[in-house]
Amino acid sequence: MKIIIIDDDVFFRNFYSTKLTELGYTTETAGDGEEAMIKMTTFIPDLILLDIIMPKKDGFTVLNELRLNPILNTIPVIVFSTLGQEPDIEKAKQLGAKDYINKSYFDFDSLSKKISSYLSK
Amino acid sequence: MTSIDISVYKKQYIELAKNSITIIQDTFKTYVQSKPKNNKLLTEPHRFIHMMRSQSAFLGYEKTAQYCFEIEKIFAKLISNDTFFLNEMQDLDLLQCINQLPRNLDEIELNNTEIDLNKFYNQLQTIYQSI
Repeated sequence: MKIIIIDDDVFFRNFYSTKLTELGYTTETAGDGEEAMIKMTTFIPDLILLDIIMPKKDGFTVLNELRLNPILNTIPVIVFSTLGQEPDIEKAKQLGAKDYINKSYFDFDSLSKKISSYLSK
Repeated sequence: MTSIDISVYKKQYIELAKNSITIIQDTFKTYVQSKPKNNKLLTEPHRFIHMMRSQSAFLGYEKTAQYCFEIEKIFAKLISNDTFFLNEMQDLDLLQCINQLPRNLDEIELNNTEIDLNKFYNQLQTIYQSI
């Protein structure tokens, strides 16, 4: 199963890429939304982990482009951001995100269970 | 805080935070000196203080995370309003608050503790409330 981690923060890109690879997933990373959309023309993931605040193209823009893309619009997206305000969560879900987690306070074991759950659907 | 071994990630956190602080300090000084002032110049420092907040919270440095969040909020509010600017004294106060970050980071690096930033935290809240 393939997962792409889209986050401008190299700390989280490295952490989640390493941890998910250890669990047996094939991972790809992108440092911004623009890079992510380019990479997903050849790396079609089974699940997307998406940050919101990023340069060039932010997470909300990526969500909008994903839902308009006939190849990518069925891929589950988990937004993981430190933005935790209700309007941000609501906006992400309206744009098609399946889930929204606060990456700074969320336990990795719980995240891996969520990922497994979305991938098994 | 996620259940991880902090010591494994602490070194990377310190390196990234030092880099973030340098970018925030340098860009904020450029912003303060810009004529006319352009609040959009705060976009990059906003992104880096946001990253620092996320990383700090992730590793359990909660005071640092909250402190970064106060700076982040000020930047966000200024970015969203092209016509409002801090006065010179507020710029200096904000810069003074930003300049506490290296001291705090040194303490985390050496002793794995956070310094008392209450005075500057209150200063940040005062600045934010004035916007």
